[in-house]
Amino acid sequence: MATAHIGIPGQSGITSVKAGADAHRAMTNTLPDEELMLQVREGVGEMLAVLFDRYQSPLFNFYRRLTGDRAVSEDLVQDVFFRILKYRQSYRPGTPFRAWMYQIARNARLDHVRKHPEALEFDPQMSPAVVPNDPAEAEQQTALLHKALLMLPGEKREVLVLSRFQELKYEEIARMLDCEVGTVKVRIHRALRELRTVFEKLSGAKAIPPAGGEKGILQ
Amino acid sequence: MTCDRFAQILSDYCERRLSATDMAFAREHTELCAQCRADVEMWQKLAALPQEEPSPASRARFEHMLNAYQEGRWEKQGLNRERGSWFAAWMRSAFAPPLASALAACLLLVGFIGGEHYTSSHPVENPQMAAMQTELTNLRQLVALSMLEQQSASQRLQGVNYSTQVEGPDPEISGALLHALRFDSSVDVRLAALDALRRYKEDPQVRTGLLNALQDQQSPLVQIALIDLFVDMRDSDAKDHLRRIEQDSKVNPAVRQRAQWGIQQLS
Repeated sequence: MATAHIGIPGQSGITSVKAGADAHRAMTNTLPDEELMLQVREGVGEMLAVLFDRYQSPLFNFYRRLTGDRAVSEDLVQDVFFRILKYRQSYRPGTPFRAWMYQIARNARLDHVRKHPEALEFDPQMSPAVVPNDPAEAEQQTALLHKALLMLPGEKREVLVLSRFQELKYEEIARMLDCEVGTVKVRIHRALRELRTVFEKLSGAKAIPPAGGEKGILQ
Repeated sequence: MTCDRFAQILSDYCERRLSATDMAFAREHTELCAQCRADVEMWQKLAALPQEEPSPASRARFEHMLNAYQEGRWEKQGLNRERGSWFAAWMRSAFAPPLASALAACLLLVGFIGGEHYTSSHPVENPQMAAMQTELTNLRQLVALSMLEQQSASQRLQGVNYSTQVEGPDPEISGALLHALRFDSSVDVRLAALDALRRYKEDPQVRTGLLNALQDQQSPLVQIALIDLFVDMRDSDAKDHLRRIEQDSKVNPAVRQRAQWGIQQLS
């Protein structure tokens, strides 16, 4: 791993060293997650760096959407990879790596919340500022959306983020949350509807009356 | 299709994971039901949330953790080597970067010195020697640069010392040393880097780098060493910078005094 990133471009004398490192990197970069994780399990720690490069960004965004806090999100990403290394023996061949990793990511977050209960409470300071007269309306909408997401109860926000952004299957989420697939679908729907309610409230949009017509969803 | 049924397939519908028939049924439902249509729009709206990138420091932190973890594991294996293969453990630790590069450089050095002995006693023209010399210089650069990136201060110090063995001016090395001088967390490494930079003092880029380093330096020791270097270099451009330090009440008094002395020397 290290030989790959200390190469100095343009130095002809070390071409062979660099070329070797590049070839090695190209080879490991094409390996599936599960194969890399099995190597990490066998003690080839360098392979974790390849997994880190693949997943640090999705994980960071996962936490960013759940917590709204960049620094905490970065800390949690580090924690996930530390845990992967620490508990590498518990990875079983044939387990989809991504689902296993998100399970660890969830646990890391739960532990974080346990240690910092205040992290559960919504802090408007953490969400992006909403500027009412912002000329870029799209930007404003995005900020509102982010804020609305952070205002959802934790478990609803989580199921929504897992299903919408992390490319996980219902079955994988169900296993993670320890419930039926049908329940996951219902939860996703409820979370989405609540998000809509909050978003409409924030943006001042008119709520759509339910089919029955007698009572709006905003009370 | 009922709303309850639609709720079950909402995300599949949005992500187009349904059969053509189910897609058609679902679409028909959204055309009739404003609530479910709004849910779909909400799902699609979420795509507007931007993908953010973690800071570049994140990768460095990870590498630090990984290195620390592996070093810890090797030490453990070293303790248990009666039971395990001590040779395998040694091989693994010996080939840890940057030791692998250092080892490679040493082997080449041995070969080079041996070869030079041979040619001096057998004066034969050997064009391969020049190529080997270049290779050796490049390897030294590689080792020095990789050691400057290490997490432990003692290894970075070694890297600085090693950099002085690289022959000829090398912008990559001087850049790494300037970076160490400005940003390294250890004062020892900063001082060593400054010392190593002396041989680059003719390089205008290094001179500018040194002036910049003087401005944001916090350690009085490094500040004084920098002032002395400017006096050594007879760099009259530094006078303005020194004057600023001399007048800054927040700067350590000893440093201000040295700056005053420096201005006198340069005048």
